[in-house]
Amino acid sequence: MAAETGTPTTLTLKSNDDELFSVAESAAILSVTIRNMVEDGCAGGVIPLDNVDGKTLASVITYMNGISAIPADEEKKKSYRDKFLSDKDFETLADMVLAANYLNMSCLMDAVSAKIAQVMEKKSVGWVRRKFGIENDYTPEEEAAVKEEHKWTFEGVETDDDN
Amino acid sequence: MKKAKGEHTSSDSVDRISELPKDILHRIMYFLTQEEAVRTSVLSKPWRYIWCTRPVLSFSDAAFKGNDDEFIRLIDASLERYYDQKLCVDEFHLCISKGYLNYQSYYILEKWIRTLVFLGMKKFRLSNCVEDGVIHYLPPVVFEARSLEDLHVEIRTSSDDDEKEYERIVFSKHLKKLHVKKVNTEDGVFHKAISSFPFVDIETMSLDSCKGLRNVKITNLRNLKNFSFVTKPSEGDCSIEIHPPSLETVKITHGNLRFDRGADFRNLNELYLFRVTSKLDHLSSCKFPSLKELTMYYCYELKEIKLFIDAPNIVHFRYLGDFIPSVSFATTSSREWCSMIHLCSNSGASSLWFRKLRELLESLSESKIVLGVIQNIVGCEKPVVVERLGFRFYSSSTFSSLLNGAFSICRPKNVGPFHLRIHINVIKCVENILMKRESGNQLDQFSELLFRDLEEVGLEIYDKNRKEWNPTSLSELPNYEEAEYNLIRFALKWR
Repeated sequence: MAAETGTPTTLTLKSNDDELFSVAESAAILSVTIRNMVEDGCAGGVIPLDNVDGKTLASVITYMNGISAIPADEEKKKSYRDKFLSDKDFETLADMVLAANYLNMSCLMDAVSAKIAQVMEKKSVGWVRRKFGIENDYTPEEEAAVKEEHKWTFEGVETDDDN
Repeated sequence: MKKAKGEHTSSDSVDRISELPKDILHRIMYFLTQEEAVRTSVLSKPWRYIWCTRPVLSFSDAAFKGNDDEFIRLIDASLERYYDQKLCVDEFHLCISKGYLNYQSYYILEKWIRTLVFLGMKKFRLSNCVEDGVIHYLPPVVFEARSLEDLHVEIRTSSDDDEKEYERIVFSKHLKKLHVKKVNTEDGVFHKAISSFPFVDIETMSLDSCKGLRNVKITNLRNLKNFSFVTKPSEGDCSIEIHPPSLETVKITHGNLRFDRGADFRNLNELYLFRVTSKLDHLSSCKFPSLKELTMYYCYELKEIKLFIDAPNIVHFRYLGDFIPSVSFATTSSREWCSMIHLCSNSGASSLWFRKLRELLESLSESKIVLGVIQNIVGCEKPVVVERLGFRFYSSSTFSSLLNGAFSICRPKNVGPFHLRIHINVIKCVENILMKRESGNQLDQFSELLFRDLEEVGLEIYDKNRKEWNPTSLSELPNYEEAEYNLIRFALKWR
């Protein structure tokens, strides 16, 4: 990706692995972090984004361009977001949610968070542990105690827990 | 990645989720129900207390397995914990059905709201879990929480005898969004609440199926951007007076939107009118410099008027109705725009009908026109170019005359789409008509005119995966798998 600094409406973003990306300012300011830099006049040269790697940043920029091309129509934006996230695995989603948080992009943050929540929804504790690789570090007694404490949340829930 | 060694983890899973910062985990939990959020405490020790501090509380009695008292005690206990630990609650969602919160226990709701205001609640959503659930009494305090920025009340109230209580409603002055659905509000009460406060901040207001509204006067809401109003025709006419300059989207279903002649809609982006009773000729005197989407469905007030819309930036104009309106637009810049006209013809089409249709198409001829005709029409001046001609609800016996009629007034670039299997007879019929010129049979006068203009006819099939139309032929149709292809259309090239 070649940086393009000629036109005033294009910004150059740098990922933490030194990849350069050019993006229209109008799309980039979806990130409040970037918008603040632009407003403070710090966006003249290259904007370094120390917490985002090149692969994730490329993805975020695709999203920025895609969503900003859609006029004020919440339904269309929502369906774009759904489509954009539909083929992302959890690894990528985790990178995206961290990037969205750092870049302060609430719409992307919410979309990714909702997508992750969707995976956890209506699933047993055991299933969620296996899916996300969460190690159960409770002793059986401790786990039983926590469950007892929140008994009301387990009523009617299938217990397929095997760990 | 220290937690990656769990025995039961699937092949490649490294525990990324537990390493996410708490704020992000809270955001993820925002989209879970209260039960699901609480259940995460059993996942592992690091998860034990994360849910406890999430800044949103959401309770639904429909999903609750215990009894009424337990449900109320649970909410009480949760609020107490937030209060004691000085935690913040940005949002509170409460979904209730009949029986859990009745007239006798409404004071509990009052108590909760006082606590929630103290905890800084910005968004409050109160709704019925079950479609036909009714709450007997809605305490005015629901509308008054002073920290609120976003209030969403979607609940059917049944009582009519507490109007006095509502007379003192004062909305939060920080309110930015207000969504009220199915609430029994007497006109006077609502009007008073709206007008008793300058409401400087409110940006979005939606009034949906609220009983008893006759007059909504919101001309004093100078920052209102999005306004939506829905009522049933059985509710009688409700007049709606607005402050045009700030509005960006206006959606009215069954209301009488009122504004002055020449009103200034400088920010209006989208206007949606469904069966409105407004005097629509006022639209002709207004300027809509920002309007992109204009939708008019079943607007009978268009019947006797010639409407002229000054909207140089229009992108989509949608019309649906059982008569042909007279609508034209100010000459737009060279940009592309699209008109979608759907007509239901009840009385059968007369030559007058076609003449009117032709006038409408001609006045919209700067746009890409999509014309849909619902039910039968049968029917030459210079035909109008139409992007796509589609048909719905036709019988195959009248289809060929319908098609001939349509060809006599317009020159569609595409005809269809038709369903590959269901409409196979229709597809053959179109094919017959269009291919007649090659058969060498004697042509009638109409067909001669038609084929003089028609340069080429092609058949195209829609590839669902690639989302594109590809050329094909009639003989190839049986070979397509329905899972991948189900629509076909005719592509016509005119001289």
